[in-house]
Amino acid sequence: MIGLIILAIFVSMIILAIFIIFNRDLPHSVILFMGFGLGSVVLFFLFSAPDVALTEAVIGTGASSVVLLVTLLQVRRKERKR
Amino acid sequence: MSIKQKISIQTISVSFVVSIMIIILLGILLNFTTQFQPTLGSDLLAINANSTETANAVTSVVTYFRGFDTLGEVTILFLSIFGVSLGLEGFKEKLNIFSYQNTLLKIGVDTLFPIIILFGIYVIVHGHLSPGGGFQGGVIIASGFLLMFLAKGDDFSINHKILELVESLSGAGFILIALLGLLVTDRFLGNFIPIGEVGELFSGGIIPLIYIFVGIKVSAEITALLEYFIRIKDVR
Amino acid sequence: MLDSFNQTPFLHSVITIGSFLILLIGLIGALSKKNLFKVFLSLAIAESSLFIYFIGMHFSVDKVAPIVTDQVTKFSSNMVDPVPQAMILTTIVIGIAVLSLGLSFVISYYKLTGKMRIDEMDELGDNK
Repeated sequence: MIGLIILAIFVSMIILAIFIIFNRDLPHSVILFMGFGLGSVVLFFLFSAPDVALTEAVIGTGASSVVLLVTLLQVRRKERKR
Repeated sequence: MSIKQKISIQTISVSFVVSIMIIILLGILLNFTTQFQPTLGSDLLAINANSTETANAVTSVVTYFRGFDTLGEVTILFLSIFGVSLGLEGFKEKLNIFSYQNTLLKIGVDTLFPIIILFGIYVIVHGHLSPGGGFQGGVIIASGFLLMFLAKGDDFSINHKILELVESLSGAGFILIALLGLLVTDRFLGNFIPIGEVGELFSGGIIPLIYIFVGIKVSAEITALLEYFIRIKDVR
Repeated sequence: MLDSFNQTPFLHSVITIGSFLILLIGLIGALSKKNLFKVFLSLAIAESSLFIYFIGMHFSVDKVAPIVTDQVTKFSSNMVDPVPQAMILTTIVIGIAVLSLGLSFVISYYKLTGKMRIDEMDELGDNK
């Protein structure tokens, strides 16, 4: 059962990563990045590393997303086309 | 517009080669360490069973066996915050850019703020018994201060001098405990406090003390970082 | 049939291929995207894939977390190696330090010049 869960989380994380890279709206990318971090938190917990899971949930997903979103208040919201 | 125009074939091939090299080299490295038993980790687990009396082996590796690396890591965190403050000092605004006049939000934050701080202190203090520790609890405390910044607007401000004082005192406390270990026992970060029983709050010798100092330092640093990012003048 | 999914070598191959694909996507984003903000976001994704690879290669199905609880009452060799977990815990904290430093440079560059794209940077002369 744990193998199927790990496989499903990896597939969803790869799809989320593709959406993050090829999305032109930058706040949408940051919100999808939070979902990506949630997937890696579940993976760390399944790999029997609860310390790293807690660190990734608090720092890698929470504080990083806050810094990214506050940066977007200062710069242009859309990624311009050429 | 096709995808071929957006991404050149050179970019894809370069990324492919670099990814294969990283994964293969790292895989060889990791297999090399797991191939020969006993590994470093099982040695440390055997030592940890009767030398530190902490319930969480990751905490004793971070603060005791590799405590010198943690000292370097908090130095890196301090240097990056210093760089952020140097870069953003010229664009600083007196006022907070978030200023809502919402009474319900302000009253709710007053209730929620002490609970978040209490939870952060719990995570820091119980770092040697359960998952958690100085880094996680410090960022939880900083998120409580972020909530105050967002909801209260200009009614809430933190003096930067106090933040710097707290940060430098906790960093000095870390080094002071390590040097006391050098004086009393025979090595840097040596354990000079009697270790208790596994599973009690007062156990582990100097490990909870070091994690408490790391927690105070990280919370002050992340609070200063978020405060720098929040007080920039909006130009749009 | 479902048993073959729970073997440790199969899980290790899944972890290797999955983190390889995430690293590939992150590097393609960092090299092909021209927006400065997107470059740093792609680097964060590539970094996260290496964390997963490092933790996952030291994982096996029959081992438990290195924490003494009521059920697991003493340290033994039946636990996961704690050293890689401590190293990754250190690296995640350094990751947010590097990310915030880079984003502060992005904000300073945008405030001073009004540009966000890499191919519009020409402060050191014409690069055509």
